[in-house]
Amino acid sequence: MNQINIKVNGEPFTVSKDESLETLLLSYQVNLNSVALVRGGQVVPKTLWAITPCEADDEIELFGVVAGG
Amino acid sequence: MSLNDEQFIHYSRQILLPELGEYGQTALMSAHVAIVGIGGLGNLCAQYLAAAGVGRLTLIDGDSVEVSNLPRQLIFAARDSGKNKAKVCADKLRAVYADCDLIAADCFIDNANASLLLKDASLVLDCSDNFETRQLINLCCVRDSIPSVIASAVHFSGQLLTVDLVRYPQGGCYHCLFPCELKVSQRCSTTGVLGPMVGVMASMQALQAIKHIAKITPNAGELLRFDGLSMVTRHATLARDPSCAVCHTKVKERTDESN
Repeated sequence: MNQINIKVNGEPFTVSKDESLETLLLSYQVNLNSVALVRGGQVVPKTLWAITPCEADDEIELFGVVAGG
Repeated sequence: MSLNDEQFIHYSRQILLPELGEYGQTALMSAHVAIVGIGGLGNLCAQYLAAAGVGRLTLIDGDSVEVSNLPRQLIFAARDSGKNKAKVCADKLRAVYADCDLIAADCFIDNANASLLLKDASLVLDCSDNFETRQLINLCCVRDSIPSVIASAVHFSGQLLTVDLVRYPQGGCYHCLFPCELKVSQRCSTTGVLGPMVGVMASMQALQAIKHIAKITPNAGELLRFDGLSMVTRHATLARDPSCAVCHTKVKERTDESN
């Protein structure tokens, strides 16, 4: 089984086993400089995306920075 | 610092809270909070903190009041148009809250003046309206070891986090979450925002500030995101970026000191 099921912003998504968060974002067609990432309720800093693999049933949240006030 | 009888009655509803008590009220009265940006978030935070008895507030903003501010910047009136926001806000609060020493800085924070403007502050509230200023405030707060409560609101989205590298170094700083190369797509001036949306975030920011000063529950290390359309709040645990260009050295220094 080389595919695992995860959720990205609540939507089901399938990725290859051991695919990194960075590869996931690229296949999700997200600009790496446009979002922050939370996995399972924990922020994953951007510098760790390339070395952090996706795991089965991961719940990933992607969101942009809100800077106004 | 101790409370006199008059102050005890004035702040009795706060002191009644077992989590705050006389200790928390005294801590508020000894605190010096710098608020950067006296727009939608900042003018409400300033009102709440002055009313709660914070001893000293430094209000920082180089901007002037415009009529388009009035639906969400409730301390200002049409007759204040053209006047500096920090000065108007400080003047109005000074007339009402005698326990609060109000300082107005009618300039924008920048690299050259930041350390002086934030000098002696025990807490900084980032109420600014753009990403570049937020990065600068974070940089200065990390460098000078000042904790910060950061809030933002645009459209129907709000974000809130507290950075305190002394109490909660594992949560990292603003740059760990939002590195400076990040692109920002929305601004209040181009996307729009409702008064109560900013008000929700400002209220939560002021609440976090009071809790932080009074040492009520650890609130650093968490990101809160509020969606004003669905009314859903999401929480996430912050994580320090081990190679963060802003806080890496500071956290390492502190770790080395404590070892």
